Amino acid sequence: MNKQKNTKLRTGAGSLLAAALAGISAVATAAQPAVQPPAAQDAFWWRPGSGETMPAQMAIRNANGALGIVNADGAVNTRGHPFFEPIGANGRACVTCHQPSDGFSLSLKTVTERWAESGGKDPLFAMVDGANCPNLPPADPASHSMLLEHGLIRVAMPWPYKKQFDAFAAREPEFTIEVVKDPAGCNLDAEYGLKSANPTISVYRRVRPTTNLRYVVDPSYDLSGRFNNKTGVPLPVDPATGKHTGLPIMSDGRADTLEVQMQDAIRNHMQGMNGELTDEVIAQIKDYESQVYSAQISHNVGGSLVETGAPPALGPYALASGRSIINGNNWRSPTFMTFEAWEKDKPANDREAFRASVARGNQIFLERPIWISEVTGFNSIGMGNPYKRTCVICHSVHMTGNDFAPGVMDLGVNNEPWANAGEVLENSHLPLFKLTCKPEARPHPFAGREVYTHDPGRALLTGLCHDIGSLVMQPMRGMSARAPYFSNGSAKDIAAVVDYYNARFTMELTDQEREDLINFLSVL
Amino acid sequence: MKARDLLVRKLLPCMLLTAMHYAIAEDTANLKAPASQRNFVTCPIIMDTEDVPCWVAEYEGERYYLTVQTGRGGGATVFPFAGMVNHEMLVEGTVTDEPRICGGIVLREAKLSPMTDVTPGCGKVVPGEGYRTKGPRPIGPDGDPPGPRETTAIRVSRGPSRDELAAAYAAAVEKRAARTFQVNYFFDSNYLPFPLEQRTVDEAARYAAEIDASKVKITGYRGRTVLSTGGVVEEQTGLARARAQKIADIFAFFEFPADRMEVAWNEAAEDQGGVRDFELRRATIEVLP
Ligand code: HEC
Ligand code: HEC
Repeated sequence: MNKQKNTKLRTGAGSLLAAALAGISAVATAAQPAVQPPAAQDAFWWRPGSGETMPAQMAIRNANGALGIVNADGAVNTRGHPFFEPIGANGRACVTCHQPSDGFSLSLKTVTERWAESGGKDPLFAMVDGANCPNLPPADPASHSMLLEHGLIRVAMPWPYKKQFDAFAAREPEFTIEVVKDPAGCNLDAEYGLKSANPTISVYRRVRPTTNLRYVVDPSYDLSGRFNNKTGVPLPVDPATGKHTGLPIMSDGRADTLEVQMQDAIRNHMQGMNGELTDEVIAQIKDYESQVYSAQISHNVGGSLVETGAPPALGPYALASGRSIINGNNWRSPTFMTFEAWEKDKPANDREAFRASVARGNQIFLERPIWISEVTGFNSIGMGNPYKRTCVICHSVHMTGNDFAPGVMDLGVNNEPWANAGEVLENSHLPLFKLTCKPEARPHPFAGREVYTHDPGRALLTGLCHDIGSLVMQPMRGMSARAPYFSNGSAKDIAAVVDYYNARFTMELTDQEREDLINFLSVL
Repeated sequence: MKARDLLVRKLLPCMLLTAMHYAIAEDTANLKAPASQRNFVTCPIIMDTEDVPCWVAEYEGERYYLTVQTGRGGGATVFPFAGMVNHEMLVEGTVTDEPRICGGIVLREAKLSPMTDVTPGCGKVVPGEGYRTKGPRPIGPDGDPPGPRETTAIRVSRGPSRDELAAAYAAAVEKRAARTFQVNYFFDSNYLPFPLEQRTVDEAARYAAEIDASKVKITGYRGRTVLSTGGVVEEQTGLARARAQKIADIFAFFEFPADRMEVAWNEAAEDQGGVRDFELRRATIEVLP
């Protein structure tokens, strides 16, 4: 039996919490640690530069119950801390967009509240990327509709790409890009658009959670191969460690490491410092990001998710002490372990009924076969199209459910015909691009030579038709705190995620199965 | 539909109208694969059999069993790569008289290559007809679920084990031997198949670095397959060069000095008369001490 390895959980100041967490043992026998969870408080806006101390544990209410947060290294003094201070030039801090109440992402609810409370003046709405396009009238809510209505941040990508992003990028782009529709107005803009002096593609993306990152980028994660099995070329190398990285962060994998990502954040979101952070600041941010865990901790109907005997993967304590990075696509260490404790044929009350539903949801996630089809990076690499398997083959990092195999995939949330649940792409608020593969290029394996997409994804860095729409998935934890979902925010709630899959892979879920999956995802 | 009809009806117009990705050369019309082989272009059929799906194809009114869903990425030489619905598929295999599987004549070492361009509507999932095939990998999570086990899986060769490969590697390093690595491909593809061919190139690069090779010669080739109905399908021109170039790029990425690399290609499409033609869709990497 594997012995628990706690690479990151330092027992800062010998705190009781850390001691309790360190006691958890191997996957098969895992159980909730005996920790007294904190009382839940209402959701709140963490104001950049507030200087407050962030306690070692918190529970913050959301619509389904409460999100639990654990700082494994103990309480964090945020005064002068670069994650919490507005260190850029526009009044934003990292925490502006990565809010504790929102599972370190940014929920649409928070965005609309901020607009109302600040009269649209909060730095969150900075024109650089908190608006549909930088040159729109700042005070007009319509200028911020992507953020205000869909929780989306503008991500500006130079086109053509700069080759340094990917050593195996095409020498020349394999496709041309045409802007078919541009509701936000930036792609056709003379100053900021594709035809401007600095040709740029604007895509609009959700904020990704800066928590549980040990499961996303783990310095101890030694990739078994040096290759990206989805593209057949070597994975990038982290210059700091000389190790290959698995393209784990940002929805297009454009930052190989947290360090690179921070420079990008400072430069682009915070308009500061020309992207030059001191080693000390980098270390401080990275240390912070690497030790903060979060997950739903209680549910309105289901009750405590961390009480003794609760399913061992639930709640933030399990994440703080769990092993990373191991494959969850097997029966030894299933992604979210076991929900056996909650299985019940004849539940006695609503709580038991809810818990039994969650347990069935996990079973669907693990065991219900689906015909996975037309996913580039999956069906196109020799597995076969279609390929019959279950959710867990893709959502395979133990404890968090992101992808254990490095690389990007095109699930289809942005591309015709799978985007917008089959609705006409033209009706969307998202920009619509037509990418045409050159005759000598290999087409996109499923969409062919002409691809209509809201977000070309990885292809904006590689210029390869193959990569159009391909993305990196994010951990599945804390979902109740951070609607909407998918990188383009196209699923407004958890039900919409489930409905997307139901349609996408013709799952023919019964009403009961649908509800079970929703309940299951809502307690992660 | 006969493969030949399909080729003539579908591929010839496609040669003229769109990018020519594979083609029938005129002077090869009289070539024909021997009777022991079944080489044909078709649309894939997936039978929804218990416990894992079964890949079959029809050729001249007869069903052929190709592979079960292995649940492993391809590897162009060892695993049977699986096809892709909405793409035509080249099947290359040897007829056997083994007991039928999924109602089909068993093709030994069937190689399945999806064709590059999308062909909407080509291929389908059909009912399992009550057949039962257990693959090397289940439909749910890997390993044995809690409960009783059943181990009657159809065996799929996996090639040499990791240990065997490691031992061979260590022995070669010890001798600082000249080694030639061969990389195989799916028809008309420059994807290095997962996991085997990726591993081969990785190992070649490690080896070159480890023995501080004086020279690495990389040569790309392209192939063609002689069909059972007569004629050939040929990989696109330029692929030999692209294959060599990509491996050279990978060596460069692994910081092997460019001045010790010799990169060559042979664009003459080669075949073996319809028997294991897939072996010639290749690149070779010679590592010299
Ligand atoms: C304006 C809002 C905003 C600010 C400010 C911001 N981020 Fe982000 N962050 C985002 C968005 C949007 C993404 C996703 C981008 C994408 O996928 O292309 C992201 C992604 C990330 C990720 C990747 C997580 C993952 O799993 O992929 C990390 C890490 C991160 N941010 C850290 C930071 C840090 C550190 C700072 C401060 C230096 C910061 N962010 C400031 C909006 C913001
Ligand atoms: C072929 C691989 C694959 C399969 C199978 C798969 N997913 Fe996903 N999933 C993805 C990818 C890729 C994303 C990222 C999409 C994005 O962010 O735009 C994703 C995202 C998600 C999210 C993320 C939500 C968010 O924004 O945080 C959830 C929840 C999810 N999937 C649930 C499921 C469930 C439930 C199943 C089974 C019914 C399933 N997935 C099957 C690939 C897969």
